[in-house]
Amino acid sequence: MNQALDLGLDALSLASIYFLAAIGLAITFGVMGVINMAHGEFIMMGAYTGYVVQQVVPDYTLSIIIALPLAFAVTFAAGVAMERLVIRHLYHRPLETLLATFGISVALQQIAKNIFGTQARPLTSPAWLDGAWVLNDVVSISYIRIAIFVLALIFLTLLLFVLNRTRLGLEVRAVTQNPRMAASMGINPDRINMLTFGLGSGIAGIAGVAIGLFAKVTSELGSDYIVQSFMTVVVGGVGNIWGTLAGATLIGFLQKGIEFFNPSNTLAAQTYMIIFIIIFIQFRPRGIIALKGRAAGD
Amino acid sequence: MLQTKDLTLHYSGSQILYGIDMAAERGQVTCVMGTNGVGKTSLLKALSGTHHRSGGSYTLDGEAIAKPPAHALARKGVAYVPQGRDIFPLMTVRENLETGFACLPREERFVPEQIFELFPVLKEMEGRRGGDLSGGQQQQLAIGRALIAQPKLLLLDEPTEGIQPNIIQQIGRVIEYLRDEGKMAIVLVEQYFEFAYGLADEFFVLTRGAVSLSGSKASLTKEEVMASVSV
Repeated sequence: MNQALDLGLDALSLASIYFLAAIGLAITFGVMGVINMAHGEFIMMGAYTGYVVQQVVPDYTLSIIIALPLAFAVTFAAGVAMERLVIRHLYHRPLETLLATFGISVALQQIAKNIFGTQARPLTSPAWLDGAWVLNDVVSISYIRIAIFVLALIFLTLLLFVLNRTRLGLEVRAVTQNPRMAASMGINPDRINMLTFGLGSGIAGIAGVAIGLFAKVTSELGSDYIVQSFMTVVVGGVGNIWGTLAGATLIGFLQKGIEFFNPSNTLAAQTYMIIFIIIFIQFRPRGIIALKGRAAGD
Repeated sequence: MLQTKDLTLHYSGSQILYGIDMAAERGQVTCVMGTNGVGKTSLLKALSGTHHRSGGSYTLDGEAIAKPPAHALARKGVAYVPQGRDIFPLMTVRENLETGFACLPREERFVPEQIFELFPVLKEMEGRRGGDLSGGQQQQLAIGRALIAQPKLLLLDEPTEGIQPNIIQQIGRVIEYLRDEGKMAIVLVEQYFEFAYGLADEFFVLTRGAVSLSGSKASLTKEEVMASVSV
């Protein structure tokens, strides 16, 4: 019983990490349909932003508070720049987009290596996030993981609010559903695409700060999450924030479950999981939460 | 209000429109007629900015229009109801209407009651997704959506296509109402002869990308117009 609870908490926190890593992608890939292989590098950029801020501001609490919006600003700018310079010219050409963004991903990793070296950099969490919430001998969960869970919840709410309740969200949905008609209604699709891509990238940056708090900050940080992020979005159902949540939950629990039965071998656990996902996609190609009704169209 | 001179249009290599001179006035329905493939929809695309003309001039209310992006033309008061309606399928009826707010200053961003008086069905369906509506309801939504921005030029591309007779009548009454209101020029592209003839004040008949017959309703007999669009 205790063990199951502990496993459940572990799975939940893994799910929230995946959710955080994937939610930016849920916008750029899920909503806009852009395959951005450099998404992981935006996460990395966010984590390094956190590290740099800590070099300047020694107080760990304050530095995190500064790092979160700053990471958003840095990756938002990087995302906008990338959309204007590269992605914009490749809409509706997924293969070229994939190659171009993969190239950018490699380049960004190398730039990070040149600036920060190959050695892992620490992003230290403030003291009040150290330690763990101990229920009993078996069940405990570290405060960082709780904080990440809370952050994931905040993002879910924030994003649902932006997409469904604001003017920007309405224009984003109009442009993604029918860019030409949106333009005929007076909406500037170029501007909306740029902002949407920036938003997705900015959220990846914030996720980077959170992930940096428990993982080592290296130039390869992003590539550790890119595959999981795409899996999360695809399994959950493309074009849908709730789908990303469902996908992250499924993958988080699945991974922890497999690891529990096969504790010594994480590689095998990953393999089993990917096999499961391949089979799952055969039966539900549109993901867990598929769009329904006449409106879903093709 | 609207005036084009020697307007031409190409799709990459092939020329579709050959020197169209046309005009449309406020408070009038200008009907563009012709058989399939003569360039009626292309003409509306050129006027709405979704596919730019390759030559000739286009003036709107005396202002010469260069080749601005479609959203800039929309903000100048050109509203477009395309063939096939192009409703945003996953957005509710209300949200579809609200997309038109992009052309309005912040304090004018509300859906006027008038829209729901013209199309009561939109009020009933307000919370439904656009893609779940029937063809007729979508057509009404598309016209309602175009009116939100209070356009001065309304471009309608085959609003009766695939729609049941009583809805067609209703759409006809709305077009008459908008004409009599006198705030906008209406350009109607239509294949359904009786419907178009009943509404039109001015005719432009296209044949192979050029105007083959034009004139006011008084200057042309019904038989002349009929003959010009028969194959």
